[in-house]
Amino acid sequence: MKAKRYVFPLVMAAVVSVVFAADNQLGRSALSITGSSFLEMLSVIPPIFILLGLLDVWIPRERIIRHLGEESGIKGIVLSFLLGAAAAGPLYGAFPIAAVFMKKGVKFSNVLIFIGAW
Amino acid sequence: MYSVIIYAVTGLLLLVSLIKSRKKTLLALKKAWTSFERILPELIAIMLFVGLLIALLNPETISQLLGESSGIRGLMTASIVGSITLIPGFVAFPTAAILVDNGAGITQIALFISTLMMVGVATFPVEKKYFGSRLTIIRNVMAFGFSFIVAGLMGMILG
Repeated sequence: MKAKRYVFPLVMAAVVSVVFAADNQLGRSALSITGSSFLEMLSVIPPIFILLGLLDVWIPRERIIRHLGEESGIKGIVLSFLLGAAAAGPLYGAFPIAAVFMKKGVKFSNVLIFIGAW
Repeated sequence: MYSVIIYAVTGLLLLVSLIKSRKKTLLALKKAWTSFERILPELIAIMLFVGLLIALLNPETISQLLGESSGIRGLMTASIVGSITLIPGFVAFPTAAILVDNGAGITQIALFISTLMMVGVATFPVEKKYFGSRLTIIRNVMAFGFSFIVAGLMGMILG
């Protein structure tokens, strides 16, 4: 199962290699664009995942439910808004966080507020 | 700038965590790696694909196909590609940014993102299982229409 997930990127790598062989100039510029978007991703994504890992380990589920869960009411709404507003950077950083929030029992409407305020 | 701050904050918290508990910190790092590795294959593939796409299509071609003045054809292209393709959000947004930098119009790209997120032709069989065919068709058609409204508004505000 694990190897199967890499079929798609390997096919893409093969396609790019063929292009590279056929037209060196084109292959070169394609790879440099890929490289720069990869660097941009690296400047944001890894710390977000580490922060999420820390959050997952250190903050117990009960505490998150108490502050942001179904019963959290207006306080949960305000807190979600503040959390989202305090964060910065590209929106795609918000999605893995939203996924973890949902897993940890945050009320769905609060997750949406968090993303909206990001 | 943002990345310096987030790396610094992460490093600091990681250090605090390490002082408090070595075991928990390692567990956190392991969890971080697992969730990162889960999206990695798609991420690599899409980045290779986008790189190739942008290299093949020069800015003139992109603005001709998807620029502000591409008219009905550009809107149709954006909405149909958005409805059919399955791209995760964290990949679609950087792709959209690259396309806008290279001459695509805000309205067209908003339409693409909106249909990408809300209209799912490929996921129709899965959605049907949960909602039934009738509701799934209604939901997708409404989402398709709604995408045009959102894109039109975004084009007016940002364009």
